[in-house]
Amino acid sequence: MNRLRPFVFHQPTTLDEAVRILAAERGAARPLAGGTDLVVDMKLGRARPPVVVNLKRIRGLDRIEPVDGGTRIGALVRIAAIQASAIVRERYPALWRASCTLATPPIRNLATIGGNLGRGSPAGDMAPPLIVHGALVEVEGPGGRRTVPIQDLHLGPGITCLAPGEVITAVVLPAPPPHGGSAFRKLGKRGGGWDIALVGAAAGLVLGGDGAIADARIALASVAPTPFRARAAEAALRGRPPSEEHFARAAGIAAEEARPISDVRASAAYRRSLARVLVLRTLRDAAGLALDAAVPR
Amino acid sequence: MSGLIGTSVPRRDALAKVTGAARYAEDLVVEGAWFGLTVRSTEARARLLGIDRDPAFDWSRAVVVTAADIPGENVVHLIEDDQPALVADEIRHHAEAVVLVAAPDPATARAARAAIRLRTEPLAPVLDLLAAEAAFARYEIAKGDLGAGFAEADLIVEGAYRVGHQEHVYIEPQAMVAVPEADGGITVTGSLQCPYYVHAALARALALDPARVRVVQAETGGGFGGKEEYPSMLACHAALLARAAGRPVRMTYDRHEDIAATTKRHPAVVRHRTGVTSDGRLVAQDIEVIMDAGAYATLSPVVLSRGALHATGPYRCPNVRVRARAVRTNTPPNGAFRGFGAPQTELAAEVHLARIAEALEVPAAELRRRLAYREGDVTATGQVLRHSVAAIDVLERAEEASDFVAERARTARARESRLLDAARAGTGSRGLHPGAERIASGVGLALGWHGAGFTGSGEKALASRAAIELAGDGRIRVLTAQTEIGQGAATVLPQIAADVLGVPAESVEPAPLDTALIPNSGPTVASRTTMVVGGLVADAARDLRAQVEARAGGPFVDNYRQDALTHGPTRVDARFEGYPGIEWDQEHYRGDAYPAYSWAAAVAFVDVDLDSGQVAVQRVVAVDEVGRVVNPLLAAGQVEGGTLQAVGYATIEEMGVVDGRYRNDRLATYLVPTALDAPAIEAHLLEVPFPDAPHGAKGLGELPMDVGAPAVIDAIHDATGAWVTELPATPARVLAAIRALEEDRHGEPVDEGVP
Repeated sequence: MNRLRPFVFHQPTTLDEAVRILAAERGAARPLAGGTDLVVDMKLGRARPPVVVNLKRIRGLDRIEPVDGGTRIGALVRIAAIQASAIVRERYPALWRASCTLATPPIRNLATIGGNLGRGSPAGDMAPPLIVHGALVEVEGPGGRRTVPIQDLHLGPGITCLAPGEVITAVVLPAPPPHGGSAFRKLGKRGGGWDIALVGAAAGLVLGGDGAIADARIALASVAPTPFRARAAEAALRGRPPSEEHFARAAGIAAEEARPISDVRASAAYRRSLARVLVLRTLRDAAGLALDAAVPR
Repeated sequence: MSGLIGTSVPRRDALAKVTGAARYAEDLVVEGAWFGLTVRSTEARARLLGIDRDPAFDWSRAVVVTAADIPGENVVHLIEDDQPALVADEIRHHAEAVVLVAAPDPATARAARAAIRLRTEPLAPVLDLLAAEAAFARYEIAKGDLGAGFAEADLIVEGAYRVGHQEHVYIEPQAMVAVPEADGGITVTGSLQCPYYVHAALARALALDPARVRVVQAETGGGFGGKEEYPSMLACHAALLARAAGRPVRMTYDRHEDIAATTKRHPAVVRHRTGVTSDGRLVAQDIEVIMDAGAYATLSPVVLSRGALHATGPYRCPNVRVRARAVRTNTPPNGAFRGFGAPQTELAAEVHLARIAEALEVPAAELRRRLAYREGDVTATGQVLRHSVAAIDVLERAEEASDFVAERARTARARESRLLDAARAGTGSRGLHPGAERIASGVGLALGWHGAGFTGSGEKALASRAAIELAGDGRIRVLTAQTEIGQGAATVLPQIAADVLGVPAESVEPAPLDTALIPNSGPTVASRTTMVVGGLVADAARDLRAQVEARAGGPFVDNYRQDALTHGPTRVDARFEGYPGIEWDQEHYRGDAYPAYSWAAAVAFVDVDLDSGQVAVQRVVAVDEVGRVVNPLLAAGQVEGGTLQAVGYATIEEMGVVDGRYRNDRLATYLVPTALDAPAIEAHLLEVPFPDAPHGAKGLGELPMDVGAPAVIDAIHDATGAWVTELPATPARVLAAIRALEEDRHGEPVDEGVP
């Protein structure tokens, strides 16, 4: 059995204290939330941090609360709590779907939304729906508080724009647009789910008064070094009617602009095929919800 | 007979296992035991120039064993004796054991391992089985006149099929504890299938008098063949370290090391060329089987033999040639795994037969019914099937139980309407189809057979001995070398004895699996335990009963306790004498390959996502004919477990090899079916008793593994129209097969437009 190498363990109870410790250790310290990635990496020797800072004793970071018409989700909110949230389910379907398919129930009971974003995995399930929902990430650090648009957070595999000492404290989702709909899907190697995404896709559509697509957002996991926004596909949809023909075309464009690699789980070519299928399906799902929202009944 | 045969006597090991009281090797408290670890090669092939110890490490805290320290022969004794216990000069595969270390605690042992460096010079490895020239075994089976057969054929159907590795994923990784004895002998206790294989290997490597070697089975968490040969290796390692340390040494692999270093199911390429007449007769079968043995022979010659003997499928054909070879590559050795070569060749035979039916434009089930063996038919080796031939029985029961004909009609209608939809989509209106996914369902069928017991003259050569003992205190024990590895041997063998003696099942117990006590009744492999050893147990019990009843003048059940008190203990040994009329010519590969065959059919129901290639196996109807069923609940458990293992083999279990190293060497990447992936499995048992076994039982353990995978592949074809000819049928492979077919159909790539 693999044992953890010795490390210094800090358990701050305030954000200031956590930031101070993390800043003092520069890059040497790793923040710990759910631990579902970090502890496994430490056991396998893939991560050997001399210092670990447990964030879970800091109060107030585990709430889902309304703010300015939108919703603020604390960084320590666990995936299971997102899945159980009626607010998320009703207002942010893409995020809710992603919370339902992230790993397994025991992992969802531990893993946090902040941890999932901070880990910076290209396969992470939370970033694509948050991009579609237009989320902002709240960050606290030695220089004070700042917000980062979610699509600017990730710079590469495992790399974020956070400076040493900075921690994610929350994500803020704006009010969902009227006549909008969103969706998330992923496929893994295992038909039954539970698996890491071979490809994950989130899509959001907003319909204008003329029934045409006023705004479209498409974001993908596991097809690029960072969560990938399919901007060319989005552009191809704007001003078009929500039809199978345009969705299929946009899906093809998204698959073309994605930059997947071949790895232990799948080939780049198969990932591209999946990207197209999933974008098409999430666009259909999102359109269904948007049309329901647009047509009073 | 007390009528115990055919009753679901509760398993003896169940309570201890479900309450956690069962003690596996890792649970054994051994005072003062050190911890042993293995330094392994990191190259597929290299010359070993030297072994360097870091002088910074305090070597007084650990013991080190290399090939030079082996007192006996540096071999893990099995068939060819070609595999060293530790590399002496040439590294022949990745993760090969080179040096052993042991220390009082795991941390020190790990530090010692890290302080050893292997100095090597790389050599060019052979990694592809098709490029490999050296072979550990070659066989040729010939029947009739192949040329005349092809001349008679109206149609020749060719096909090539490829399968990858399969990992056993027994729940308990390999583990052994070795204790040096004061007389210079050794006692090894651990997780194992075949105590006498381990016993022989230890005597050989340690140059010990076999009388001073003792092997004990700890509670064992599964085997599936994966604990047939490898425990001999680990036992030798633990014993060598124990001897060097002068104290007990414990070795337990973690899952990663277990997957990286131990044996797998052989990857294989099987090619078929078949001559068929337009009225649906097979007139020539030319089959080539190439198995990848890996770097050492282990059990490959016999795995290949079983694969070759099952390669025709259970079908009548007057002219046959099967050429088979097990080639040497610089990959970790492959070995025994439930089915033992037959799942690979039967997959090819079944998929190929379905393709022949497609070419003839007849339903494959109908073709199978026409061609399947019946009593009196002659196999490729010239064996006349004289009794208990149940191919048609399992086929018909599987069709009935699954409502196969109606289900096939349903999937055919769905396929037609999909093609119509596709044609319409090509011409006209494209509306919005929220959530419209192209999920196609398919139903697939496969038929199979499995020879029970050792191949050819193997059982005769083994000359197994089993015993029954009425002790002086009136306890009755069955003494065999058959290990309980989850399959129910510890329940079924006493049950057979109790049935003969006319006593309740719980009145007979299995003797502890300890070579100091038990006779050598052969290994727990080859679906032989219930049929062969169960037969010996029944014979011994019959003799014991007769002796006691002669002395007492009354029924055994009323008299055996008193008989034990007055007469003292009685032990009866039975020795295997061979089944009547079974003759095998190993040199020419002619004759009776197996004393009896079991028969199986499976019907699989799948849903295939036509745009992602993902396959969900929803339901499997499994019908297995195994002679008399001794314990129906345990038998159904074997069918369900074997079927699920076959479904995993067909769909998600993919090892992959990169530069001679297993790519998916962790359970995070090597996927096996979970509860979410498992189909509903309906097990049906049929009984056509084997007349030459005293209790009528044939083999069961491996049988379900032979038919599950081809049934799934056939179902994928029914859903998609595409044949996947390489296992596992991963989503990428299924999608590629669908795309290739669509390109064929439309004469152009369909990568554009609506997927």
